[in-house]
Amino acid sequence: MTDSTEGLQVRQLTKTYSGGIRALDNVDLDVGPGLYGLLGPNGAGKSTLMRTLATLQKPDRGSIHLYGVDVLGDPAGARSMLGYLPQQIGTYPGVSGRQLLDRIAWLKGRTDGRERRREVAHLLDRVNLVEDADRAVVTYSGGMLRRFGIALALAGSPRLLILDEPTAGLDPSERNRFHRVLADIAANNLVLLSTHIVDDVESLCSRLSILSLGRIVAEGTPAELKASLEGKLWSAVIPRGEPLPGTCLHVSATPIGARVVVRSDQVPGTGFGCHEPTLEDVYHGALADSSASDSAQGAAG
Amino acid sequence: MNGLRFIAFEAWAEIRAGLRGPLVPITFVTLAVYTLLVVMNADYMREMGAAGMPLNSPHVIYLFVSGQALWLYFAWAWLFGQIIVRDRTAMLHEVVLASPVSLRALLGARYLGAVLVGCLLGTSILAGFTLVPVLSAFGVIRSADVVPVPLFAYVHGFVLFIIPGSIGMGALYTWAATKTRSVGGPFAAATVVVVIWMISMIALRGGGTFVGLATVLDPSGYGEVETQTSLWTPREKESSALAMTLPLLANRVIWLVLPLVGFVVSLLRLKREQLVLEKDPNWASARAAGGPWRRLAGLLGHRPAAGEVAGLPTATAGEAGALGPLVPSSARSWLRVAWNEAVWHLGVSVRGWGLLLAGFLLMAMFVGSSIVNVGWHSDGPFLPRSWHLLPIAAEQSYVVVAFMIAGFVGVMARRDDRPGFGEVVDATPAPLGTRIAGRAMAALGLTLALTLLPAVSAWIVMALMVPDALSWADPLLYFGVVMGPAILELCALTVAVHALIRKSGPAHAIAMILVFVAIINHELSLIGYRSFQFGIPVHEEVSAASGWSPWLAQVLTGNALKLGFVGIILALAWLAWPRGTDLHAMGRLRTAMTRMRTGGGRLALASAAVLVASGMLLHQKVVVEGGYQSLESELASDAAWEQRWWNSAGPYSVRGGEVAARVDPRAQRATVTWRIVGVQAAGNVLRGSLPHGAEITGAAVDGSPVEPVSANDQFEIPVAGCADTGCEARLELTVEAGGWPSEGNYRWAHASGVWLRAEDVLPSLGHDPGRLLHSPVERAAHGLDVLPGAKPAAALAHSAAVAPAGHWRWSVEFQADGFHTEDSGVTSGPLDFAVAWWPGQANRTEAGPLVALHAPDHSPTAAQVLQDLQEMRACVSETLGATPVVTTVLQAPRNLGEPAVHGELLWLPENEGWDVVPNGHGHWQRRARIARALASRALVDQANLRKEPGFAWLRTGVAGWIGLECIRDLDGIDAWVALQNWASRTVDESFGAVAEPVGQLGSDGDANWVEAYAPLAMLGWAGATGERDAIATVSETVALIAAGTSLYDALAVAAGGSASSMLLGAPAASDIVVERGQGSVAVDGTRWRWADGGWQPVSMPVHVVRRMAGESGEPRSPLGPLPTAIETADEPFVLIDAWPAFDRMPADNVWHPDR
Repeated sequence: MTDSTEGLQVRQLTKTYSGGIRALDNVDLDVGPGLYGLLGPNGAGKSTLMRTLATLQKPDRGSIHLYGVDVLGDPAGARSMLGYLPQQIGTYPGVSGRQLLDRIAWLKGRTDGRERRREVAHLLDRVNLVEDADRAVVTYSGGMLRRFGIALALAGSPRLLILDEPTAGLDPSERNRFHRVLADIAANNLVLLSTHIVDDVESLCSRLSILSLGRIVAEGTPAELKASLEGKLWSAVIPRGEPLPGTCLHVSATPIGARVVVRSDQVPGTGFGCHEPTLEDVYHGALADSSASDSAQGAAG
Repeated sequence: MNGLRFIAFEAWAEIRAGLRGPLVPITFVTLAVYTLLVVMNADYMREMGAAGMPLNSPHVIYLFVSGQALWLYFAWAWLFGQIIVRDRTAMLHEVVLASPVSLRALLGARYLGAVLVGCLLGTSILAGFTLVPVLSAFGVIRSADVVPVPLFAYVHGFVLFIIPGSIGMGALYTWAATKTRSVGGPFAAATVVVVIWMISMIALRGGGTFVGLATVLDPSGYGEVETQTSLWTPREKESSALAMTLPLLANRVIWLVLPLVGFVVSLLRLKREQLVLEKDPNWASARAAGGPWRRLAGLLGHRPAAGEVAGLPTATAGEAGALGPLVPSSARSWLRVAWNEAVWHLGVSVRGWGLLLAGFLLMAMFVGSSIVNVGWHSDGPFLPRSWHLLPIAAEQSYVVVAFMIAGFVGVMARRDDRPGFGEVVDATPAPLGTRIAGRAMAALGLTLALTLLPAVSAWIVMALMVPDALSWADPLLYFGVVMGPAILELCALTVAVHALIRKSGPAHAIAMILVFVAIINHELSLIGYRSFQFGIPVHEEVSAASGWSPWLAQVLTGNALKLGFVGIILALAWLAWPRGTDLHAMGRLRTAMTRMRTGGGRLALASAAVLVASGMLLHQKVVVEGGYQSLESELASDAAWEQRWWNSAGPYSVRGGEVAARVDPRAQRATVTWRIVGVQAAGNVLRGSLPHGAEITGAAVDGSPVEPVSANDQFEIPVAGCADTGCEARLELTVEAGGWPSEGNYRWAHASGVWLRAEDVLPSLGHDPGRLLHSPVERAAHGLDVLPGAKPAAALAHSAAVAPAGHWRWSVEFQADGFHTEDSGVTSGPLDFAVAWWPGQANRTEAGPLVALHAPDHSPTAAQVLQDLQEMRACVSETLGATPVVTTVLQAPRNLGEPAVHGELLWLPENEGWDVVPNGHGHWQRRARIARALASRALVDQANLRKEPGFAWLRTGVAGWIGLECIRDLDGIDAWVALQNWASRTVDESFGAVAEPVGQLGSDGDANWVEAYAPLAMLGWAGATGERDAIATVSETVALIAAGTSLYDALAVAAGGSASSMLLGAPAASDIVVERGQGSVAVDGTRWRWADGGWQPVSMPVHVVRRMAGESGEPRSPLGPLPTAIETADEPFVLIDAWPAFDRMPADNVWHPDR
């Protein structure tokens, strides 16, 4: 747990939408400097959490503190410290990247013209868009738009960067480039990265949480989380046409059939070999545990 | 699936999608309610010439169905834009376009579906009308005000306007949507369509020069509907169908076929990639790189640095290279952020070609329409001096500027509505207030820029046409101060609508609806009290004579009220502005309540304080001191007057007396002592009506004080004991001219000058029958029975003076700030005079014994006016054998009365010919009006005419006819026919707009139709009788009236019973048609007489007389009966129906050897 005046602390955060959908259910989170990953399937509540942290919506209850500032009580104060990149940034007609970035910079309080121009130039350089800075934003490719989004989020020197699914739809080279930018940023900032792409988290984040049905179901460093499954995973390739075991943690396709990973204290059957845990296994394990727990509670209820 | 089935399915899907959206329910509810509100508004129905008529009569339905087009253009733009936009919004466009269907079939089917929904939207007005009988069944509307659903008008209007509109405009908008892949294209096309509508309705139709072309061009067809229905009689309005004239047919075909062909051609050439790709990168780059402004600067040899335009940022490589690590902001200035935001939004708005092109188009349109409406006006030509040009330019520009504001400000308000981008902006620390303030400032700036565009066009027009009278300040002040705040209201409303309504489409639609309602209110005054007319410029009648000073306080206070509204609406926008992603209604309400404690609440409170303070001041000045009354209040007041005073009316007589008035222009007050001698009154009571602001402070009879009684602007004093020899009555009055005027209620005194007539400061003795309510509907509504019978002439007020003929002396002193001047006169006729106090500004132009007092830049016109006066005096004198003495011509302020002779002064208001070009229609009109004023004064004075039945025949009809004859004698037969044509059109329009049932010329007082009709009817009768005999008859009639005979009896004696009955009876019309034949002229004609609310054919032989230039006034032999053929002649002639009627088209009565 981080110091209440350092980083981000979320306590008992709960949000239920008008349709009765509980998007966040007593979420607790402590995020310190560096890149922090938030993993979860679609509908897990990641975007709700991101938007709540970004002061775009209010929770039903709970608290959020960012470097000692009560985000819910003083959203204006919190906004001075955060940068937000939503899942999608639409193209903005009629203006260049430089002009749009300049605008966001003044909206973030960079009101001194000279200071702002320096920052804009710096950010464009940082996200490698100097050459394209005076092109219309509508002409940017998807990767350029994501990098441009990072620049938008970084304007105003925020202390917390909230990135919601930032790599969705990027090609491998753009994704790698994006990773480098993020890693660079995380050296000086607190970066909260929400994604359902496990590889992104595995390669970038020092800590992560897994969110499922609005709850944090796992939290720790990638190594800690993987260590919890050490010696409990087994994998085998099941030829096409043969039945899959009923207790698969997850299944992936191979050219000759399906590769299954099973969690078990013992070898689950013939053909299975010991499987080195990955973060993806952790992710599926956490979701499976969460689902089982819900089922048990449902049955008990 | 075969092609037809696919088209049917896709069209059905489009219909369902169209019906599912909010547009249909919004349109139906809003327009149905709007329709009901409008038709239940009595003022509006009067304006439409439908007073006392069924609320759902065919003519109202035709007007509404075609008139709703302005709003429908934008609703349709949204609807047809969805054909392309819906898939893109759902990110499904690539999936759909990749499917194995024909692109043409896909878009064609969707277009068909949208056309059907468009037709459905068009029926929303009809739905409103359908509710009229329903509300009647529930007793909400009187059953007498409703006719059964006029199905033919429904179907006819639907087929004629809605179906072609939906098909044609839909084709145009769908084509535009394929080009822009957004609703921007359809909305831009809608704006162009509205501009074309403006050009046709105002520039072309308004000038009266290109009416046919205007009809063809008008996308709505409303102009033709208005033209046709304005000529319908009340009976026709209840039953007639719109005629399919050639221009209307051409109009419908053009607006149906051309867009459809364009759409089909574009569809045939359309490729899928055009709908899949984003905007052309080169084009987009060009826009981002600076657009037209920058290119323009480049052409001028200046290459701006990146971001120099509109305050957008620049950075240099050096700066980028010298970057250190990012640091927190050193200092923040949210005010600067607000300013940056304003400059940003304004900059982005003006960078595209769209606004620039629109600006140039508007400018060209305003210049063109001003030239057509002023320089080429069929009633002119006029000189575009400031105070003739500016009101016209304002009227022309208002509608288009209002719609442009709704469009551009709406786009500005929605600019950040990009997926995710709005969230980025919302997550910034900039206070919401700075963002809203920035956007509001940009919107207000854009509004002011567009509002001032007509000022620039006014400068251009003045520089081109009247360089000597070019004023730089007047157009700027007029559009900035008079029109600007009203448009700002619409701007603020648009901002608020977009703040309140989350979805872009419905927000644009509702903003357009509200602007549409404001425009309708502008035309029809749904809200009567001008100060509360939202989005409508404050009332002013600034003129060259009065200058700005009398109006400035009123204009500024009215604007303070408007700015209060603007502030409150912007505060509402602030409170409701969506921030974040959790935007359910209750959440937004809670947020709004929270924001009440912030700047939004403070702005609301401050604005409310301004609004209340200015509203109270306006109420005090306009209503309490200025005497403003709504039409309903005026009718109620007249009804109360009738109940209280009419039955007590009795004969009175006076021998003369003396008026001493002292006017303090600074205090805008007159103190009057009126001594009346020889007073004799039936019932021993002298009665009269008081002018506005007058109070009797004392009264005495033969030196003994008496107690005056005043009520309903009427007074009485006891004059007991005066019956035998008459006694002396003395009235002391104070007349306050303070307060601020409302429309039609001009003040006679203000600080910059006094233009005073006797009726402004003196009571009018006797009863004024003009206050009687004539409409049975209105009488019943105010508890009155049938119209009471006429009173003896001796009980009534004088027809053109405050007191009957006598030996009168009058003097008026002006005293202010040590300044003292006096004017005085004597008369042995009725008591009427006028004086002016015009310090510092008046110019004098003299011609012999005549003097003209006029505004400084009207000297050339003054010389022409004096020449006109001399010529018309000579003509009237020759015709009547006498003419009133006139020594002075006074340029009165705009709209202050009619041209008239008061004492020895010719009162000529500014709008009556001070800005006409010599030798045009307007010049003939001025001369005819001067002649009419002279003749009217002469006749009325000789007859000592009271407001007895038929008085308008002599005062207006005979005098107007003499005016026309003078034009024929001095300006020629073409000028004479031109004025007849104008008058005939006016008569037709006045019958189309009657607010009260038409009775007889003799009984309808000075109703609008009487003024226009009577001179033409007199012309017909005199043509048959011979002018010399006609004048003799008039003279005999006048002499008999002066001797105490009633006008009816006098005319019957002089002209015979039959002629008298026709001249004073129900109006009659005829239409004589002359067609050139071989050596002869074929003549045919038709006659009608008004009965049962319309023109009824008269089956009697029609005879005509031939009038030629320079002929004598001897009796003529009638030709006919028609049809017949008559011989041609060496000189032009005009055939006139030989009975008292007006010809519905005098232009086709002319035969000319050279044509």
